[in-house]
Amino acid sequence: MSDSTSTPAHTTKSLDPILEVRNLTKHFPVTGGTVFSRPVAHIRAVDGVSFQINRGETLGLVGESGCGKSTTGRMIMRLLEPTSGSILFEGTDTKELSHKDLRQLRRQIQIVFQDPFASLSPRMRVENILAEPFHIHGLHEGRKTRSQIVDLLDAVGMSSRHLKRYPHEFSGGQRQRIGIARALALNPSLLILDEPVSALDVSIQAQILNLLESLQNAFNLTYLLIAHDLAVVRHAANRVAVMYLGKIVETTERQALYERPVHPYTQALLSAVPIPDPAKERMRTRILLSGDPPSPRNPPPACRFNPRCWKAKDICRETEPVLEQTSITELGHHAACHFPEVAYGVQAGTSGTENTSTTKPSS
Amino acid sequence: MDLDIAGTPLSTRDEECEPLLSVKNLRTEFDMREGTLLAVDDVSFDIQRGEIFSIVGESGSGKTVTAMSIMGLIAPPGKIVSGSIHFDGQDLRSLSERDLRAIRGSEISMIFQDAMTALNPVYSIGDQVSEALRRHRGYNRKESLDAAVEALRKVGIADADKRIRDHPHEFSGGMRQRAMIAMAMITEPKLLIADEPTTALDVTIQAQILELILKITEEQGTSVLLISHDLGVVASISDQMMVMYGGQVHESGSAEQVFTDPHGPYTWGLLASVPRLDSDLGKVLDHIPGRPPSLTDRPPGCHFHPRCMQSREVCGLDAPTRISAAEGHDVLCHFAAEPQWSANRVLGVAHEGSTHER
Repeated sequence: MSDSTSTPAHTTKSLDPILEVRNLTKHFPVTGGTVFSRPVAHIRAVDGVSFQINRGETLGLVGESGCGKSTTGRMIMRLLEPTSGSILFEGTDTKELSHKDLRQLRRQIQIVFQDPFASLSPRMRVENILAEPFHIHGLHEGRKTRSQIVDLLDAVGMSSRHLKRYPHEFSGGQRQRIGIARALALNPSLLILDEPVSALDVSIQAQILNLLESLQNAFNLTYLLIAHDLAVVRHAANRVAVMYLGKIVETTERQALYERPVHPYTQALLSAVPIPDPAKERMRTRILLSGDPPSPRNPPPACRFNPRCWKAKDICRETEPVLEQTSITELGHHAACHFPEVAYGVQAGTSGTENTSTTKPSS
Repeated sequence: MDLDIAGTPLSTRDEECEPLLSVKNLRTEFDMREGTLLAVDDVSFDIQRGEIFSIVGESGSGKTVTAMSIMGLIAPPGKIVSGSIHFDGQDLRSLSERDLRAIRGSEISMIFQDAMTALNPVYSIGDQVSEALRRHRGYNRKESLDAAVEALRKVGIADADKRIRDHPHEFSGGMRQRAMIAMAMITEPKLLIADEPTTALDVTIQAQILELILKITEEQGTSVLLISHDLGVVASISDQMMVMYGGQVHESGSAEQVFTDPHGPYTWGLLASVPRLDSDLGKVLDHIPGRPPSLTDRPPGCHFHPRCMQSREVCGLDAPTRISAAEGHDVLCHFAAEPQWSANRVLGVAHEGSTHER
């Protein structure tokens, strides 16, 4: 596999960005005060994030809880207003869109949520859940829409006999299918998948991942896959961006990221994912990070990873590293680190190049 | 010859050779309006001293109810219908509630998935970590708090002497999990039951907590019953394990046997359906069709047959008997012993094992 640096055909063929995000930030005010609430601090949930997604590809956004990945997804949907930065969809800045155009935009970008138990109204039948997008956008045309709804159910592996049922009558996997059908209703071009399988049982996760893959091919969809599970992202994404405390720390093609990560955080993250094979597990050296991720309310200065990084030197506490191509990475492989170093085989458990001092679990 | 007869029973009676926990033919039912729900159906397993034993399965497979049955925490409408649970030479099912309570939290302790709900928000961490010592060991407040500081230090909480005054909400998720481990281990139990201990945590914290569980149980010689749905977690720390499906033990053996030479069709389906960091890029996941059965209405014959790619007529008619695939490696499947079966299996998932050197 070392010789084939080629990526799946659909990633390389077109560099046609459907979405471009530039310097996106979202700061949530923390309010305090005894009588009048006033902002006393800000949670820098997303702090200067830039990336683009090309048509037909899947970009995986990975990171641990609180890193800002879901906030980023919600800003792209315009469910949250960005504090600053711009979001360009098909070349137009979504901030400049009129109310009416924003509606058009929302037809183009849809979202699938993590929890299929919370994202479907318990009081609506499946047919109404799926008809709602058509109503909202004034596209409901009686019989024609009904047949579209049946087609949608069919596309996600369900059938018209489910139309009259309520969400509680379905299992988690089926509900997620309904959620996906709803997202597909208006023929979007970009789907934001926010942890689409993490609430599902193991045997069901694979069904949904396979479904998403076949839908992508059938409808020429572009995905932004937000997930914490690195194995899921590796399976489904063409390119990956790793986030830590509101910033992207490393981004590149999938194969390079998983086989030749250069940012220490990516390396630690990959080495922490257990592999279902006891023999390989015994051989692996795990990079144990000490402590918890700091709060985004008071992020560490300069490189945000420095308090947990085994390589940190003075410069890491003084100057913030820029996300750019490093001297040791290929074109398009960007990392924000002062001391980038390739680690081979962190994912597979074969030994890496560097001797990463395994930090004892905190204290 | 008479030496032999005299010698054998002596050595088997040796306490060290007996399993710490021995569960035989356990059946736990819940009487529901929709009918009787057989959550645990004829489950047997042994846990040796100092061993990490895992139960892996999806939701509703019966893994948590198995643990609750051991702890004697099954309340109506649930009841243990039959079977025996022997722990450290005692028959737990014959003990009174009072005697059981003396064992729970002292000899057997438990940690849970969600530390925030397992810890009481109105008491300080120190009070909660030390409670078992006051309750079970007759420590006074001062002594027990000193022990709590020591226990918290052991699990890697910095400034433990100050942090014992904190309340759970002042701890991060990983620290709460550490505190819960300290609380469970403070009485030096013989068995720690860990029910999805890392499921709510991020991977880097999960790695810390697994390392901690390994270290601290090894130091104290504690046996662990780990319950998890995460195959990776189970592979990384288990000695022995069993896979549960629909309330039954589908496959059991050493972690090595089950992961590298799975014989049960459900086990191998599960292994083939998880995306993993070491699989070939671009590989399609072999998902298991359908979904886990409802425990009130399990399919006849083999409960897995409607989802099984290899099922034949007999599978829908007769319940399978347990077949031994190897020493200590048992499978509940009609065909697990057939050579043809193994060939299919190799074509199916087992190639994961052969891609070792890459």
